[in-house]
Amino acid sequence: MIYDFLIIGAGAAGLTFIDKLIKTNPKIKIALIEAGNHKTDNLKDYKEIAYQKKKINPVDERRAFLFGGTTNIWGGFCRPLDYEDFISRPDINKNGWPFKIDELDKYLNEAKKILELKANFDNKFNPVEKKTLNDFDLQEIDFDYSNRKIFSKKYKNFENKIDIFFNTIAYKFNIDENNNAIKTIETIDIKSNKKKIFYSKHFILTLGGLETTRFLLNNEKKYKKNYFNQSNTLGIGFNDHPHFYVGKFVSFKDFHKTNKIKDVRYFKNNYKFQIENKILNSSTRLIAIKNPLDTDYELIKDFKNLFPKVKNKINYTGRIMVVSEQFSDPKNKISLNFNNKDKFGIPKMKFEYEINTFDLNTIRKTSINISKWLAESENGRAKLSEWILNENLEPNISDYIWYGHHMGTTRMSENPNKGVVDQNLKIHGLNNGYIISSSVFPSGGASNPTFTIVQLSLRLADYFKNII
Amino acid sequence: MLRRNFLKIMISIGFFTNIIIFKKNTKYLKVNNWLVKKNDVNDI
Repeated sequence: MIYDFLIIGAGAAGLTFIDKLIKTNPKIKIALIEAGNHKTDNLKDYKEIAYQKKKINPVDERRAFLFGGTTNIWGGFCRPLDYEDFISRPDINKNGWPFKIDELDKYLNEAKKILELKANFDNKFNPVEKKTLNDFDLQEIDFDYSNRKIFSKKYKNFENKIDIFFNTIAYKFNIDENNNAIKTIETIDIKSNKKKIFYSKHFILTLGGLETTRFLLNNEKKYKKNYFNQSNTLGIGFNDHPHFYVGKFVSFKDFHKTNKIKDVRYFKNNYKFQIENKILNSSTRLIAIKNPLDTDYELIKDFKNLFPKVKNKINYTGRIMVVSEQFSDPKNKISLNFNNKDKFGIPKMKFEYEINTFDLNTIRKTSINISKWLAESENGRAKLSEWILNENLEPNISDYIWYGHHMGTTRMSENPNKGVVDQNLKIHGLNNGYIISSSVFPSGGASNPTFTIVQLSLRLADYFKNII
Repeated sequence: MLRRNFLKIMISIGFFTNIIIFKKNTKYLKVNNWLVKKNDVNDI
């Protein structure tokens, strides 16, 4: 059996892509390979032997080898990327995307429908605060929340429409070197250890931001030609979205009542502020703690003792969180340890990862800017962590939350010497191999990646509509 | 006038960097990690 499409990985990317493909042409023959199944997350047996742990390790818990992938365990945060995320910024090593935001905006409403979102994602302003927000180059932004297990529930009947092979790990391409085309893929059944070969016309890697890279790194040296890594960027420039609790605030009025969903308001610095301060994109969360049982009375006492002149009544306290885009640091990378393999013979991954001065500079300047706005708007006052105000200090590790948004290790670029895939997500050097994953993001912005992954999946399915 | 020119020279060679930064930010102060308005603090 030769399939039209073989998709490897049943996460948000793979399932969205298949759904649109079937709707376009129900006769297309599709096979889906998934390392887990509907019920069991096979990662539990797999991760301990597959990865090294470090103090800051953006890996383990935020993944799942399960039908529906990581969306079975995610928080559901959704937001499209910003206009500026697509633009090149050589001053901060940001390559930009090979197309502008309009290209993904075409799929905004379709992605919202799939993720069951209501927000329109337009930047909005409370009229009372508009002037002060403008003065500080701040924009209030929308995040919306999708549902846990949304993909596994929505597409649970796929078995009636396509061939699905559960508990199956793909580990090797066989390539027709004369035609630069993948002929087959070799797999292994986790339960029985039986090997199986699949034939297809097109191969779509949707294994997630780590396993996709691991698969290609493991295949890189098996052929005479360099199909995947002509650019030497495969595995290089890993980035995440570091989340930091940067401080606390006291409020002088209920400035959270504008957000009816949750007691959180989201802000970002505008593009002008980013350029002027030579920083990356970021977002800020002002999280109100309105339950009197959880009020930070020590913080209130500290404020009142230090500033007796301020007579404002304190309404509630809260926390400030900053989420930063990350500098594309070549030192942050994934490689394979060929001397240390898992029980299926696949080399384990090795991580080198750190938060560099550009990331910290972004977090510091964003924290100070929002704190000034809090004061100027008379919404309250902020107390920041000492390391935010003193650049000589290292960040408190207890303030840091790693996030598991695995981006940047199979980057998109029109130049085969600068990226792994082209703007149509086709692997440079191969005629029928494609990747849909956050690993193709040339820059990660300050939005959670799933919404963009869904947009890219819809766009690739559209691309095939014209060529099959 | 002479005094102003003297200050300009001193500023141009970076002598008063701290004061300049302070003057730019007169509206806000950092006090024990709080970022507050200058008016919040009692006259020093």
